Amino acid sequence: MTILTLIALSAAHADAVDLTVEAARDATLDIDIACGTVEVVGTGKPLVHVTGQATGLELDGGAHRVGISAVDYDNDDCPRLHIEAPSGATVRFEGRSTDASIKNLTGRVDVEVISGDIRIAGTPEAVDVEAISGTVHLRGPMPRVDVETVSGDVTVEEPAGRLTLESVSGDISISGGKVAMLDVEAVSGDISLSTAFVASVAVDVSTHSGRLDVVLPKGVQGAFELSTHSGDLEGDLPTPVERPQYGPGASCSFALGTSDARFSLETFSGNIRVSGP
Amino acid sequence: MTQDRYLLWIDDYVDGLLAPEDLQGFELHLESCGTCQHALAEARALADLAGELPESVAPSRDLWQDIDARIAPKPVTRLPWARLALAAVVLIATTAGLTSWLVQPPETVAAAEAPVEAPSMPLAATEWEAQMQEATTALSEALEARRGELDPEAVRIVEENLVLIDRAIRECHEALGTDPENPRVKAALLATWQRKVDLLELATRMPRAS
Repeated sequence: MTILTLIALSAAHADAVDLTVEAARDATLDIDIACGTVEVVGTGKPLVHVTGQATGLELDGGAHRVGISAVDYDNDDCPRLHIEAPSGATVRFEGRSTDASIKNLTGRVDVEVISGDIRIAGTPEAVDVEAISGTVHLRGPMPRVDVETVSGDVTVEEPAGRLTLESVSGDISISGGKVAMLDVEAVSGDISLSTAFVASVAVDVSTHSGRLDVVLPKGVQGAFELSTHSGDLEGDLPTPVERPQYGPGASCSFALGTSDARFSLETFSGNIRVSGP
Repeated sequence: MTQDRYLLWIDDYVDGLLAPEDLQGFELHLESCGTCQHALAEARALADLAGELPESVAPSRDLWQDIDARIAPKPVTRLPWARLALAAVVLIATTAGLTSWLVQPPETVAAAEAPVEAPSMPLAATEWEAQMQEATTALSEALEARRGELDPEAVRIVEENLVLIDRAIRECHEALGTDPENPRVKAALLATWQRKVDLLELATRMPRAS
């Protein structure tokens, strides 16, 4: 096995980086970049090719695992890197204030950042993102998505498969695509949902005090349970909204068609608005 | 290779899951890294502790599936032993109380319709909340211990969001004060506690500031 370590060093300014190592098509890339911007692009080549600018960049490992790291930085001299990797590679990315764009990969993508903004596009087999304040933007039919943020917003476009999205105060938006399972939770974050569903989908969406806006697709079927403890519930609903005799709150249950799909839409104090089908 | 990365490998090393190509480099680093040696000893001790715990408490009703889904820790590839042990303790300790609390049939549906004098929380609820409180306190202490090495701005955001969660928990309590058997509020309270655990777990795993 070839083990190598390549280091680009410069005390004063970021160095131009142009490093290449051979990598298996299903290699694992461990990327640890403290700040700056990183773009990871899947290619058909059995290579990891790193270009851009960075100080103290380390590239190590062998064909099955490649480590790329640059962690000792002040924010004036952050790396700007473009990384080409085999499209089947697994990418494990860790950053602090690093903005990352990851695309054209079919392997697993794991991301942990503090304040960096994360954009992932394509069809990775599984995506797992954890962020504190960074925003997360996913686009494409990814079979399995898990995202957890604290205050960062989450945007998912053209999804497919199973989505689990959690936030505290960040807003969560899902649009387009067709999902097979959806579990979305927030505390004060707003949730916006405008997507299609497979026939037997299970949908659980809740926010404590955020607003919940749902656009149901034409022809949607399933059993619906909508409720808010102290918020309001409004929209194009096929049955009357039930309200308690005393105090706030509202709920509504109905079934459309014969599908065994299940939809649970809840808030504690946030308002719920449903439009369509 | 950074020390942070080696620290992340410790759990895999304890589990015997470290990739063969990484093993030699890790053990070489371990010989000269006091921090990693300490972390490894701690991980092994916690693994032993977790191994002594009972594996589960059997569910009494189908409802347990929902509860389990809400409180079971998410599977992750690099689960710190401290987190696993803590999650196991919380899971076991809260199971009995949660099950009995959540499956209690609402005795009076009308309670939701007319304000009544606030009763005390059911015993089971206070028991499992005490356990959740204990878990979040332990996680808060772990976060506090790392405060000096974390990005201050990130810690500030975490603390602001903990305030939001605590407010949500208070609101659930107030609602249960007037409607103690409301299953939706119970579920909301449980989910909000879980958010707090999740947030603290995430915060304690934050990478060090540069």
